Amino acid sequence: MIGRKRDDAAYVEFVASRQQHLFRVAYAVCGDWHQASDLLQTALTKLYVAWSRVHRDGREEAYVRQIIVRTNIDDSRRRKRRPETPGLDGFDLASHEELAVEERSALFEALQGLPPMQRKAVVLRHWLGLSVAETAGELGITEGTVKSHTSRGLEKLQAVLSNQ
Amino acid sequence: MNITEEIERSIGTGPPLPTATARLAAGKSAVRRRRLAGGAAALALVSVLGGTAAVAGLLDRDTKSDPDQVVIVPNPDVPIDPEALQPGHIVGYNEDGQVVRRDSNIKVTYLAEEVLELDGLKNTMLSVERGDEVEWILLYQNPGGSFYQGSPSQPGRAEFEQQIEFLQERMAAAGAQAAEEDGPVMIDPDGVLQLSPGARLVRRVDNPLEMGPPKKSVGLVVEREGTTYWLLLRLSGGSGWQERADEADYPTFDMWLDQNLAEARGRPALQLVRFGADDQLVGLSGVTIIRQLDDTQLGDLSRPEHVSAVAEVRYQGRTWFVLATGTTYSPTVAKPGRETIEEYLDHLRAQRNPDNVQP
Repeated sequence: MIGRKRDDAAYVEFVASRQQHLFRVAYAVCGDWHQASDLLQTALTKLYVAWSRVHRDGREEAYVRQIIVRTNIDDSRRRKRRPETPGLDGFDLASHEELAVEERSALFEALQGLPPMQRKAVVLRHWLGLSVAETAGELGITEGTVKSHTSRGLEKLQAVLSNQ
Repeated sequence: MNITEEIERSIGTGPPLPTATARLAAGKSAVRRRRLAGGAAALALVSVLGGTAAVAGLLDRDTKSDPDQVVIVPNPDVPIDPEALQPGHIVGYNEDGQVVRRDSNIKVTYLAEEVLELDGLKNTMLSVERGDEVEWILLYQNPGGSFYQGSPSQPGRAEFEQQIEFLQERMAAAGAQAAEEDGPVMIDPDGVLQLSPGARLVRRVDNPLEMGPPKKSVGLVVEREGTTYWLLLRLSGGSGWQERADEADYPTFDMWLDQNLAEARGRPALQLVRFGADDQLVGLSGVTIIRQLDDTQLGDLSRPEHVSAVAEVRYQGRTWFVLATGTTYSPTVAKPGRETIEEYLDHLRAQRNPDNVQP
């Protein structure tokens, strides 16, 4: 046998069952379906490369989520240029009309209006249900900073909801 | 009001996604052809072993005046030198090891030097401010680039310690990941190939792609942890690309190298068959044709502008399928799921008509 034998069937099963949810996570983090598509493709490709180890440890979803969040943090540093992420041959997200007629709720707009780390902290803590410590670990900030980010972020979101 | 439900409700489902099979193909492609790992992975692992002591020493040194506040180290002028930076990076080292920034809108403050023990290589922790965004950046001098992490500026001691620990963990994870993912061979900053720990060189073929200087190539058979790797490296200076043979695509290592040489020169290496009289395929030396289908039997796989045919053949003790179109012959070895000529045709159809979009 040449190379490491990967469990392709398990990878396909994981992607089929979880990629829609992870796509929404990416969208919540970055606020743009195109960018979310790039983030997810990057993360799922890295997942395949690391599949043996990550699957063995049973942390596939956490791994993909971490790649999405960290790649987005890195990308946001390079605001001046859009990352050149290889897509899948023959699949052009921009060709789908759904994007042109997309409508976003006031809450989502408010979520995207939060400063980047506040938004990520709120998404991880209050949508995905991570603990303060887990959120701090994923974002590379202290637990105290997570608490202040989420507190301020929630305050703004609740103001939007109460005005609806 | 439940904020979780509200957020859940506010996020739509988005446009259709590629199928899981298409994701698999992208992953396989990434595994087969990858940039050679630099020494960063090994360095990252080494750094963790002595990292705690280094950090403790740093904090002792830096907290003399105020135990709760990290004292900023003397802050030298940071030149503007975008040419020295990697694309997308806003700070980095120039050739002299000096920290430089991309433009005048970027304000750089030194937090600490030699934060991590990187085998004598320079590393610097910076607070970088651009507009209203402030983050910490740990630069370290090696071919792998820099680690970046966002964090508030002017940190307290506890936050500083926690951030360093986080960086160490992340570097360790990146190092372990790179060691596993990038295979058994790395390239050091001088362009010298090195086997990763536990790897054993079985065979080496110099310059199988017959590249001219300064480029070169090398074919390697390497064993690590009971797994055999076939690697083909294309090298230029201190960087390179590696290609890894997919499982059992070729009967021998030499045949795989020959195929790559032929592709590099724009010609097919393994032809196995040729068109003879009446557009029938004929086996070349050592090749036995088991079965063949002509244009009329290929259905949607036939091409109007060329004569086409598919053959099942035996060569060097194995079964192969060859798609012949005009003067192009594309052989592929039989593998599980592609053991009959019908299964091979199904595979060709799937490749040509990818159903990439989920219903």
